[in-house]
Amino acid sequence: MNVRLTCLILLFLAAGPVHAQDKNKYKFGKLSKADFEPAVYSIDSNASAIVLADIGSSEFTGNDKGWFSTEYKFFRRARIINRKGYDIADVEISLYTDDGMEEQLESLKAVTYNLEDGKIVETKLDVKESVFKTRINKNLVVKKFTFPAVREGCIIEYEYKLVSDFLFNLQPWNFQGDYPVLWSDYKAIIPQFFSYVWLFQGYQKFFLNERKDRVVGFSVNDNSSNINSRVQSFSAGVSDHRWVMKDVPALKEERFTSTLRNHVSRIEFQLAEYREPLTPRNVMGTWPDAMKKLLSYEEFGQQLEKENGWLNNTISDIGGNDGTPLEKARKIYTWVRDNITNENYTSIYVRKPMRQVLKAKTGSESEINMLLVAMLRKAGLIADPVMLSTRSHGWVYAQYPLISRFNYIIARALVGRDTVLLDASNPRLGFNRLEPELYNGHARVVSENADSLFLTSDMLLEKKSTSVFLQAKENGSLSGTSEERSGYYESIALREKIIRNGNNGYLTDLQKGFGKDVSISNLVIDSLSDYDVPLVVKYQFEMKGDESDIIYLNPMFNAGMKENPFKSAVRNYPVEMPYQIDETYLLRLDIPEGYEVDELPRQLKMKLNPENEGSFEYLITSSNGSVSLRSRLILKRCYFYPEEYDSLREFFSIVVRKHNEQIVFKKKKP
Amino acid sequence: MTVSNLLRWLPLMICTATIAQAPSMFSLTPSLTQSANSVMRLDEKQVTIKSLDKVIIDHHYILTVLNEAGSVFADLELQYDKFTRIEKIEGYLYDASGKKIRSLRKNDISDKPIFTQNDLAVDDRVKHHNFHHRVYPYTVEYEIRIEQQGTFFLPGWLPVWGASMAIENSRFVVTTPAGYSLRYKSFNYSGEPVISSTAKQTNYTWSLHAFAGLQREYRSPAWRQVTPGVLLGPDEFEIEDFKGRMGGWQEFGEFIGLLNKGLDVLPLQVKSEVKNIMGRTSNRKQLIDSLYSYLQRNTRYVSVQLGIGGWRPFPASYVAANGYGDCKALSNYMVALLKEAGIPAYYSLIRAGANEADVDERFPTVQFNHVIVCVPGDKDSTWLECTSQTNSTGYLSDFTSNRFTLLITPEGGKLVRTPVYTIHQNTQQRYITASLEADGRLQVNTITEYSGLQQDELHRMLSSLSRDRVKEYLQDKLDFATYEVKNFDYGEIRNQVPVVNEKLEMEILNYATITGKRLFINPNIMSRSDLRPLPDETRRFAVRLGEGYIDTDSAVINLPGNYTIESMPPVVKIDDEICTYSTEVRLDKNQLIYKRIMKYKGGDFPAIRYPDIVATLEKVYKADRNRVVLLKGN
Repeated sequence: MNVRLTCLILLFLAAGPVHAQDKNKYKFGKLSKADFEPAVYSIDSNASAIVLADIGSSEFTGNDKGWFSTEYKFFRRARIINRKGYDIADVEISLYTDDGMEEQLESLKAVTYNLEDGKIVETKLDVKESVFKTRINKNLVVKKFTFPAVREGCIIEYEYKLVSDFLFNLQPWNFQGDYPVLWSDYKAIIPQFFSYVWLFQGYQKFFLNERKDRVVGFSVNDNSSNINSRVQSFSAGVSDHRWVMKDVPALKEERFTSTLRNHVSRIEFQLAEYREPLTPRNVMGTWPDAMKKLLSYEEFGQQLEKENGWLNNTISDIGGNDGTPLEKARKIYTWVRDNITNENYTSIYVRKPMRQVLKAKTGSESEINMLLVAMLRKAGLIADPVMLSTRSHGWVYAQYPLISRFNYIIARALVGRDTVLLDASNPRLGFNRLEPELYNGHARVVSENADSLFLTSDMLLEKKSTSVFLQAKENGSLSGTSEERSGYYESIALREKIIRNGNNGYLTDLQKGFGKDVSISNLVIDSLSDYDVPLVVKYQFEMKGDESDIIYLNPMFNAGMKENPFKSAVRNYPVEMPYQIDETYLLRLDIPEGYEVDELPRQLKMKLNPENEGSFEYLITSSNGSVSLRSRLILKRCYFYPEEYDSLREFFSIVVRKHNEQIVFKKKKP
Repeated sequence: MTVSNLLRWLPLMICTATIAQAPSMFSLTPSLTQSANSVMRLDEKQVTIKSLDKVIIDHHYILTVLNEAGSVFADLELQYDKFTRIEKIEGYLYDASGKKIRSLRKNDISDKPIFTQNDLAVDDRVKHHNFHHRVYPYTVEYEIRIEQQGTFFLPGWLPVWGASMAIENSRFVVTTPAGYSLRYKSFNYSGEPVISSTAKQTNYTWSLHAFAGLQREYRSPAWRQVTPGVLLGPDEFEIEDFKGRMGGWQEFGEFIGLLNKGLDVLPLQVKSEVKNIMGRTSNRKQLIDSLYSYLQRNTRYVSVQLGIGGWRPFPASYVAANGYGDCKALSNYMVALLKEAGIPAYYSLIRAGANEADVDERFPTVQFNHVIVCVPGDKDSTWLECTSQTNSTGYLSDFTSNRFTLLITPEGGKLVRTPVYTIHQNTQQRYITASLEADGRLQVNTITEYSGLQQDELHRMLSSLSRDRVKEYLQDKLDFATYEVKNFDYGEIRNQVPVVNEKLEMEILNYATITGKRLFINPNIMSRSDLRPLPDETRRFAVRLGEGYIDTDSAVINLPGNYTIESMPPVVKIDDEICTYSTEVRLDKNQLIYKRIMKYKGGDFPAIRYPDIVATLEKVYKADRNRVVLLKGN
């Protein structure tokens, strides 16, 4: 886990060493023929486009609403090397909007430069006609444009200003993106009366990281009342921060990565407090402060405080008042899960009152689990919401109460001495089970105590076992039974499939795996609707006889691992597996009448590493007319460093090899 | 790359009627519901053509959802744009006994823009509603009214929404002013519509009763080709300020010509570029080639579809200034470039997409979603795909080959067919030399030539991915358990039927299994068929096997030491209407020599041939996986 800490270096108003000032050499429109010369760039000879410079700054000014605004300036110059890089010419600028206020996009300028017959030819974006605005949702408006006259080898350049009254939205900065960046330079001029926490992540090093202090004048005008506008002027200290990175490589997608968001080199900000000459106030506060605030919100905690006599009937109808605390919790959880439908809207906040969620029988993930908390409490249990961030949403910081980092709500209940974690928004989940997607480190109980929880993939074990028994029949045919107990999460996926396609559809898939020489019958699927336990699939099968002198048979049949999950030969980021693995396969096979074993695969026992965090055994023996096989694969860790990748890949390569090996039977000589 | 507004023209699920008490589950007909996941109890869609510029669409339906699999149809999705206004949406939810348990609330309807990756701006949006009910069975009822401006497009009727949906009663009524000439075509529908007239209006009615659900089948024709439906077409129509006629392809073409009129004026600077190009060659073929590559170098595909812009191209001057446009704008620009060079060419409407069902040639209506350019020649026409910066001149790929296209000529529209790429043009020839090491790893060198439709996918990949990404793709997609692509190289030959040459150098771990005594190896390293349809005793629909091709493979595999044969796969030869296939492997000293030829004939077959197809493809599937077993020593 400590890798997470090393890449989330938290800087709290820490000033880096001051380097020699490196002047920014990029001015809009100032470029020369030499800029068009490179056919490739040494940073990445395969790149289809290169960002020559990303330069930005954020600054605070007094506004005429009696408070402050931020002014964000952005400049980019990029070279398009070939047509595969044309998409860098498509630009989207997001504007935050709320309560009729919208961030303002100003002074947008965009120019394409082509070198034609030794001359630089400029083509300007028609800002009036060719910038398109689309409203995405209540809080987001997007402005889109694409550069004109884009050709292979051209340089594109644009700049704009974004004026925002949303101080919490001090623009973050990505040093890294889809294309390599030669120069990435962000300046934040922050008044000392606003204190921000900075969050830096990624693996790239700063070329410059500096801070200078000075005093400047501010002027704030309040003409909201229209009658007597009041201007306040004062001087205050500001800090000029500047972060520069050079030669930043492009981001790459890899398998078994929760989200690239965790790996991109990036800095972002959170408003922590107001200081003199403003009335000092801790804005961010402590975890208990933040939880108290959440509990007081109409869109969150207030929903649990409201009079809820309307719940009584439902709870007594489903027997929620009867039995032990565990029995009550189970009944209520099951009812909510089976009756309230998830609208697949993700946000920690609720959009409608709980009463309406119950009435309409639909809600977002958070609404469903908040209703669950309300019902559990109504039935006399102690229950609280728990806030977390899903794996694909990225890591959260345990140190700071940054609520915007969270995106998911589940419920925690006390049943007797135990606590259980519940997610009723997933229609096929069992009691006290959560999807691996929710095991993402830090989570926080939304209560006055603000208890912290830690959920990690290492707490999950996906255990699967398969047993196959085969009896020899006359003329060399084999008849057998197979019983497969799937892992818990594989069971969820299988149930989904079986419900969609029916038992017959499942049988068809099975049949397809075996081919035409095997016929399957007596399919039994156990625990299809008992979501607390894994699914068990049993069937019988007949394999046609083979009259040849030699029979080759893979004892794994279709249960073997056929593909190495670690395909790529190189790895940049840590491997994040969803859970630990324990897979057992048992086989007992009668030697066909008239045959004898000529060759068996070799026995194998191996360890992934000296700590035995992964192991594999393939034990096969033959005696008394039958062959027995036991194959077991165990992986006890979910998080692997890039340095460990090669051994992980090699380990699985051997598993695949063994699972592909054959038994050879030979006809006995008469 | 398509005209995004096509979506708006696909039949909307739409009607009037009085709100009836939803039927309870007790009234379901068992024979209908046996294999159904949902049952349409009543579906009434009424299209009222008020005038040439106004159409009212009223849709009322009551659908019973029997189980979770049927719930996909409980979704209400309504697309709209500048030409359509959704006037009313009402909805009700009923439980199993037919009791109303909820009504739709306006707040529960979401409204979102529809964007695809290449759209810079579109005005298409979608409204969405769902009761999200989970206690089965249940019934939903919706009442919708949509007002449409213009009659360029008229909605159709496709009563069977999808697989496993049974229908009790469905009705489609079209009302026109008296004297309006309505064109229609019914398919998979027995009988004629019922027509009734008054002095003021005419009604046309189609209906469907007691229809048991259908299942989707492997490689079957498009859903709309196998289920009942009706297409409507106008004769005279209006769209925005334009008027036209659509009774025949010639008239339809005239209208498109009218929309495009005057949009082909090139700026002076482009005219002089064309002149320069003309100065360099007088050969007509070379000139077309040079002008097409001028277009490819200077433009790219960007889509802006607003209002009539969904059908009318941006002018040539816009493309010249911005260096981009959609299929309409780029094709119009290409035609203008050719015209400037004295070469007549036609803007051509087409229904693009690999495996897309072709347009109905006997029923002129808006069935197109893309535009290409046709340069007529004495013998052969040259076809140009103007949204591609990389296609070779004259090559259409699986996106637009072998189908109808409407040429917009000065004399109006002419429906013709685009070229077919034959089995001898769609080839893949592969030579492999490999050597096996004592631990089972295989070092492989391959040289492959892909031609015609067989190079389409590779060409697209090579045109869009950087070398790094191509490597990632290769490292991910090949069918080996653990392997490394050590080196690779691609070359493209831009012939009229283009060719991609590929060289791969790979190491495949544990390719062969080597035990104390034996060596197991599949000599077919890279060309294993994965077509494996399962038997189906109740096959109903025709089987579409797609385009034909020829694959030839030869491989030489060096073995580590001396081996003798224990088990050699038999020579497999198949020669039937589906394919001509042969595969053969032999041991020559310490080398395995493998040969495979597959002539896949493709084409359409009646359902009755399905068992033969299954049998043949299964034989190929198995032959491609046969192993050689060798014994160590002499």
